[in-house]
Amino acid sequence: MATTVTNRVWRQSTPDAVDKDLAEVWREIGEQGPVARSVMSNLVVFRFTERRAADRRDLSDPRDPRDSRDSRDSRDPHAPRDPADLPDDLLREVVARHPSRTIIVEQNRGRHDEPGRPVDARVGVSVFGPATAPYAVEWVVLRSACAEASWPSVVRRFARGDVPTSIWWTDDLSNAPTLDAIVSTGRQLLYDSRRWRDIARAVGVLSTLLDKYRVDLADINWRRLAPLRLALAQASKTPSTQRTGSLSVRIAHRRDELTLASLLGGWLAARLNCDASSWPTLAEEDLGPELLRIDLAHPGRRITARLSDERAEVEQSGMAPLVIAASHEDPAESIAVELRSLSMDQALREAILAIAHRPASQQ
Amino acid sequence: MSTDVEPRLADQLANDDHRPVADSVTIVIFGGGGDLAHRKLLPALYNLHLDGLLPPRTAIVGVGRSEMSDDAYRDFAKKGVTEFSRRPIDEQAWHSFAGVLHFVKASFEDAHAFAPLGSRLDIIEHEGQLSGNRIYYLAIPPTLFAPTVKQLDRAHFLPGRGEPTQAGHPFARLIVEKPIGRDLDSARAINDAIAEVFDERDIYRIDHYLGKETVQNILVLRFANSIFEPLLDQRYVDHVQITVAEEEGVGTRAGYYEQAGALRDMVQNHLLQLMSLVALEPPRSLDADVIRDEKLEVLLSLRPIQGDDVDANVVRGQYGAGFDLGAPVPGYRQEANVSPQSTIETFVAIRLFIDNWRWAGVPFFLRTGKRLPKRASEISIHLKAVPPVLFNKDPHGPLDPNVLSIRIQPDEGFALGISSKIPGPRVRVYPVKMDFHYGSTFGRSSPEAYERLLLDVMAGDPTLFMRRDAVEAAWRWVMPILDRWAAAASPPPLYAAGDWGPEDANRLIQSTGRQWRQP
Repeated sequence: MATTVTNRVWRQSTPDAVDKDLAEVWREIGEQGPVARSVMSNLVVFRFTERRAADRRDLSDPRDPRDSRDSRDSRDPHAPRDPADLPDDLLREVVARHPSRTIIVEQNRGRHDEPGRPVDARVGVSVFGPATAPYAVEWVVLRSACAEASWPSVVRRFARGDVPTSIWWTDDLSNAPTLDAIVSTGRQLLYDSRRWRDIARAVGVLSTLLDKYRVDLADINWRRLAPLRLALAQASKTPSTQRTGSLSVRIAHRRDELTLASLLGGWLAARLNCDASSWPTLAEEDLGPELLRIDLAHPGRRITARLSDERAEVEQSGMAPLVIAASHEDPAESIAVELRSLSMDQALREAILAIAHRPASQQ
Repeated sequence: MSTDVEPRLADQLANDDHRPVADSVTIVIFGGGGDLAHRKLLPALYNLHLDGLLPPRTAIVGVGRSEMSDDAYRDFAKKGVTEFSRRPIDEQAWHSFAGVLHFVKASFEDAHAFAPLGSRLDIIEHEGQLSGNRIYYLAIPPTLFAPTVKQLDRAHFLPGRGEPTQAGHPFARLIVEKPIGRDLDSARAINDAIAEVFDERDIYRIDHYLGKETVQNILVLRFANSIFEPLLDQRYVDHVQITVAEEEGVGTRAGYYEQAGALRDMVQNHLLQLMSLVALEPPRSLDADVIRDEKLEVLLSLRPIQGDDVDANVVRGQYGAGFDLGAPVPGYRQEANVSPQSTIETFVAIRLFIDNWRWAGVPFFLRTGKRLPKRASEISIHLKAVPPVLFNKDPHGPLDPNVLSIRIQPDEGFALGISSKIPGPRVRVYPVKMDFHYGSTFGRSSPEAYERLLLDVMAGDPTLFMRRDAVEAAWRWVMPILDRWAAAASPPPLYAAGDWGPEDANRLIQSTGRQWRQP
């Protein structure tokens, strides 16, 4: 459900005057009637502006008519997008569902050799909710061209310490610099592995972080595996699937779902203690409406599982098919749910580490 | 026909929101051409004028060493108001405000200089039909407090001194800026010198932190709500944190700071005053001395930190090179006018205990520093965790304890953190907040601290000002720490500018199973 913005005030600011200007904006909002300031977390959004930035619609553009319309229909939620296209209406929808102090760092890629201050800042407040119970969130938008070493002091300056901080990395992690500094300022790292162009490199970045920090990973793409993982877990509880011998796992995937297949392979490898001989094999196939198909076999037993946008289905000999519906969350809801889940996703952690340490023969 | 029993028109028309102040006052600012007057005092007085809170007949007289005409002083004041006032300048209002501004050149130690100053004040008061009520504001270095006050006395600036204040007699009040000394002895010397001239009830030792709206709200929060006060004791409170963080470096204050450091500059006054307000017992009334008695009781109940205990309970640090909002900045010792071998602390963290019935065993963690990640002041009261059963039984993911946080700056307000179930089939808990924010609730800017405090002086209300006994009690408590550091051979450990202090500060609190809450 899209959420209507009922009021908003934006102001051009400077990096030094953000808090002062934000206080002014709150007063301006408050003069129109009491409003609850809603802050469940800091949401620090890193996005990159090397190209097509001029095409991105501006949150503060007062002429923007999209505030009160349903944004779900405007784009395919599963289609990989250029990072610079991260839509502002998606951000609005996310913070409407998970009210956050939202700090957007618009990093000019390719100009970040030297440490330095953000070059520009805007601040704003958006009011949501019914007239009887309005709530509002605040925005800080920073334009930056500085080196990574500068980011922690920028985030620490603007993040509130009394709520959790989530870092939303909107770019391809396989194209990221070392993220140690920035991850050390947050509790959760949110990303979408559909953006990965180089799975091995992105997994390498993540596994390095997991070695050093207690950071909660939240992968929007990983959420799509939830019904399949649940179905496989349920199916494995039946006596017929108790593992007794050698194992083979084959994951067929649609052309654009290699990352999803890799994550599933990592998770299965971790849970089934796969070695080089039993490591899941991945194969691209034309699967029609299905995203993935898994054939899991060991002596005398065979399980076939399928994942589509609609459902996960598991079949095994002598048993009725097990079907679990995929939840129909819109993209904003998926992200908001992840932001609310602050506990360590152990399964995702295992999957990442399994991929990172997979046998050389599988690399 | 008007009669004595008939209420005066002025009383009938009086706005209930306005506090009664004298009909006229002359505010004499020693150091009137200085930075404090430029940035704080003149903008505060202008805002009081905008709100109609200055007495109807007011004169503001800046006194300084430099030559300045009244018109030049008005230009100086206008620049300060334009740059630092919380509200933009209104030309019409400015015109009427500028008319009350005057400047007199005088040397503070020179007895002869006070005669022309007195003559000028007499003329200003005569022409403005002012009644002779005077407020003397010492916006000057502490070394000049005693000589200036002595000159006030010698030049007969204090009519009726030594006589009981009576209705209708003009008053003479003194405002003193911190620091009151740099140790207990010098504080006593200053207080003695002032006491020779002014009665304690006419001395207003200003701590601008106490004029902030949220600080005043601490007492309201505690004693106007039944929900909080019963919880604020050793049975329910796990610990209390007070953080006063500055993002700036030493800037242009190196000359002063090299002689002071964070303990003298911040802890001895601001932080201990904030702690007193959080910890004081319910006063029997809102009378100034009743509240100040209770604050003093807290200071007198502080467990002394002496000898080896200093090393175990106090951490100091000095900022090294690092980042400020992304930009590289130099370390303290590389700042202008700072000794390259300086051992002055720019950061202090303290664990202290208040040995009274209410707070026995509850640690208070105080922290302040320069070149920290942001400018923020916050008091947070951390309640004890719920037992490790039911929703809190996962040892790897304990629930966040309830925290009542009071934000003093930059965005004044307070919040209560509570645990709530996330909607859905599973029982998962998320820390949510009940958050009150002045700006979004009342929609207007709070008066600056100096506005409130200057108004209090005009109204003769010393509640928010420090009494001599409290100032000296605070010095008495910090002296063993200063002595220990003075005897130490090693310099304070460095922390990178932009970090939350040295690693020792984390160890100080983490060794107790707790952690700093970042504002």
